[in-house]
Amino acid sequence: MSSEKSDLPQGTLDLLILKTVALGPVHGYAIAQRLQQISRDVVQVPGGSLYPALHRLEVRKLLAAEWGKTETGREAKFYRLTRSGRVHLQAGSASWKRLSEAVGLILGPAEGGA
Amino acid sequence: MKWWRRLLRDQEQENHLDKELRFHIEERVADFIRSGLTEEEARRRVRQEFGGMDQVKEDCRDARGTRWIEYLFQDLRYAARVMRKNPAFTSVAVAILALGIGANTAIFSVIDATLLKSLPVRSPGELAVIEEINSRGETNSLSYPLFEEIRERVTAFSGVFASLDGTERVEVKDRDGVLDSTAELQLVSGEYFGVLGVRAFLGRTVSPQDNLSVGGHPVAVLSYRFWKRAFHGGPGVIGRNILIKQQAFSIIGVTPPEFFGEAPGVAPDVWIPLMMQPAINNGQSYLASAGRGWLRVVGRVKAGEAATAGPAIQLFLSQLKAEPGRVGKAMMRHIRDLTVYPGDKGIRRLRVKYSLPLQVLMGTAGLILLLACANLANLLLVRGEERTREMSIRLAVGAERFRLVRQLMTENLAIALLGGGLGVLIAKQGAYGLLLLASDGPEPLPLAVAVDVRVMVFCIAMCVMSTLIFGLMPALRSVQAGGALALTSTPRRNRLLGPGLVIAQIALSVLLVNGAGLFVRTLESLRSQDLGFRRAHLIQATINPRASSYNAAQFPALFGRTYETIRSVPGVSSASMSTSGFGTGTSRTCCVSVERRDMSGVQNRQVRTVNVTPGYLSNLDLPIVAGRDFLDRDVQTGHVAIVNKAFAHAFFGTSSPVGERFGWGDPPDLKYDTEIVGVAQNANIGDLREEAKPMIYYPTAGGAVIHVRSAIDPASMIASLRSAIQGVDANIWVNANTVEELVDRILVKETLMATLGACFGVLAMLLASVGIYGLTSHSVAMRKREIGIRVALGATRGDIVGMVCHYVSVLTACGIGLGLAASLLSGGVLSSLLFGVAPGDGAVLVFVLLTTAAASAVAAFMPSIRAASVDPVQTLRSE
Repeated sequence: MSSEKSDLPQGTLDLLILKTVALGPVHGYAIAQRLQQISRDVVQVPGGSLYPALHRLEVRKLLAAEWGKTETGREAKFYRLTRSGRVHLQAGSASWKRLSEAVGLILGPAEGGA
Repeated sequence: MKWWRRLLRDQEQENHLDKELRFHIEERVADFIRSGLTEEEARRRVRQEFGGMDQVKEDCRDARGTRWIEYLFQDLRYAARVMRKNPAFTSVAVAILALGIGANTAIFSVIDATLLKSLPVRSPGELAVIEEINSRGETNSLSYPLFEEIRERVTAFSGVFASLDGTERVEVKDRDGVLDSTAELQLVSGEYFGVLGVRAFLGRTVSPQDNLSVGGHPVAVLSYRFWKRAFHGGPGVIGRNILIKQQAFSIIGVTPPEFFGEAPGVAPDVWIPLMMQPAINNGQSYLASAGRGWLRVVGRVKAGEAATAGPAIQLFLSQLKAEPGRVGKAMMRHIRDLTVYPGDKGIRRLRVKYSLPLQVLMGTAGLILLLACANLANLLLVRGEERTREMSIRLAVGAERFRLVRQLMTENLAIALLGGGLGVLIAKQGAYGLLLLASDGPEPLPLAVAVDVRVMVFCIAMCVMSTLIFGLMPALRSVQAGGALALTSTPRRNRLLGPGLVIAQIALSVLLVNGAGLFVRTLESLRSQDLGFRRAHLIQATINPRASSYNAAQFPALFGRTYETIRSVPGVSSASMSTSGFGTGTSRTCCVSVERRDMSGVQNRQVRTVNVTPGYLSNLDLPIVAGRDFLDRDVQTGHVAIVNKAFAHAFFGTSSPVGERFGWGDPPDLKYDTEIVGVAQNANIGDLREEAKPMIYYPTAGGAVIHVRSAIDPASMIASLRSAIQGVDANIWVNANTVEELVDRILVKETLMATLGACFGVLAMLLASVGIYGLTSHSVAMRKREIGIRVALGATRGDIVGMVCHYVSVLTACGIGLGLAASLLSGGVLSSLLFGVAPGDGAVLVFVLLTTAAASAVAAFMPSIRAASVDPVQTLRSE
């Protein structure tokens, strides 16, 4: 895989999935597509990471899943956010925002100077 | 979701997972095709991107946490395969564990029933047993008036009941003569079943309305077992009449099967109201007597106020001292204290008797299991070496170490559970045997011992614990060895672990054999304890005229006729009668006063008294050490007595009591009206551990205890005695045994300890020998090459055998040393169970040393022969 893609920090994938699913019930393939589109191809999640993550979130009851039909009429497993998933997402994105601002503050000046 | 539901849904889950991933792949392929790739190219790209389908699935299962179940089944299947492949190993391991776990479970089930389990009644934690301590500091049964006072005055109790302290064995008949059975009879106050919270299984129980007027409530409640035994569990039993001592009782109910009464070990068959007491004691009523203690009293405190029982009884006692009520001022002097103990486990008599022996047995069984585990650990270590190659291969192809350890432990657990399952079967039989051994009659001790949930939990815990003990170390080691070794090298045994385990086994068996030796010696010394009289060919028979509705005035005539009859029975060399005998209990009288002696300094003026026919002492071969025996005329004239040596010593020191006089009580009632005509040797009255106590023999014409000396076979003698006595009166109840049997009956506890101790000792020695054998033959096999070189360099067969023997004797010596140290350190626990032998007893130690040395010599014999026959040429060539 190309070197332009960044590795995701631990735990971030869960947050990205939750955010994606928050927009409405969606199946696994669509989640992968959306993540790639929204991040302008920076984030590419291989199926080998995506599906275990989805199943983990389902077992932890942050996501709920049911089988349904896609627009093309095919059967697929659709995930949606549960209440505790929503709470988790809010807390997670808040703390992520804090962290990235802090990291930005530290890294910011170093780029121009030294 | 519960794990088992997950398990059931496993297949569905798998299908869904497959479908979901397949959908993803198909969509991706479709996308690629849409962007202009051929289908073949698209699929290749997707495979590259997605990774291995099976790996992703595995990761998803991992994420769901279902994998351990899958592994468990995989491991179990594998374990079953391994066990089938090694039937010899499996059966030896299972058998060893079954013995160990079975012994532990059996003893635990009895301990649970006697010491741990609560009574099967409503909120047993609220029950409190009241005990009376008399002026001599002994625990006494309570009188009926005292019970009435407690019932009325102690408000801390929500209810209180009284019941006969012990049971009375009676014959139960009916008018048609169909029913003829013996039963343990228990008399209870009307509150009994209500306070205990025991509901009838059939009909109803005794209620307070059944206990209002003396003799007015001829009703009976049967135990479930008696109902089954005497009435074959027929439903029409309610309302039927039974006869107990010629009094008709109407059956009103049957108790539930799990209810064995409030005193573990004493199971009543029939309950009747206390008010019926005179009917079964020939019209003599104990109900109004404050001086007769015959009841136990149990109260139920209000919920959550268990601690209030003690203070409430103390308060009651102080009130009673001020205002004795029905108990009376005179009796109050004899009551020193009233105490209370928790009644959740019932009356504690059996608990007190068997608590320490059972704990020692449990400890012993625990050691046996430990020994068994050490043995298995050794076997597994050896087998682990054989499987090193398997482990190496599995590690090499990428198995996780943890998985391998887990799989080995699953195998071990499977073996342990098989052993445990078999152990439960052994435990069932073992517990029955234990109850049989612990009972002094032909019937097992009536205890609610069952393989219930508690016992099963204990058994499973034992399985898991022993799996950890015997299995973990070998499992870790074999996986470690598998990892450390290249596939080509030969395995090397750890130098310390195996010998260490064998030393531990020898030490444990030394500990157990030493304990067994002590118990056997105790039994021997108690059995051979000098009774004072000669027990050989002596038969003791007791008759119970009261139970056959004789009253006291009719006794002399009955005794006279019986005495005549017995003396003329063919084969009787001599006969005598007395009021008490060996193990029957003996009257004690207070307070003796000796003429011309200051009695004020004498602590204990209570002495034992027994009335005997002239010729009693010579019949028993109880030597007269001073003075003379009774003469026939002494019965008429009276005022003479023979005392025992303990009496002479206590009241006359070294001077002779013959010709001195004594009397009873204190001035002014005191009359020194009895002359001591002789001094007899001390005779044991039924407590073999007891020091002789002062005793007085009075002359009499007859008594309910008969002693017969006869040279003919005791069984036929007893039979002819019985028929002779029943020739006098067919209704008379005769109880006859040889004195030897009576001694054995007293020694039930000691026999139990000696028998089980010996069994465990032999088992331990056997296990240790197997351990020594295994280790030695293994080490010989491992050192074949070394031995070959030694032989090639000129070592003789004797040298080789010597080498092996040296190895074994070092192990044995270490084991014995360790075991003896442990024995001496733990000896204190046993000392109260021992008699005539101390924990460090020389003879026992020598016995232990010899047996252990012999066992290890036998165990090492075959391996050393094998070592001596190693052919150097062959061995060196094969390498």
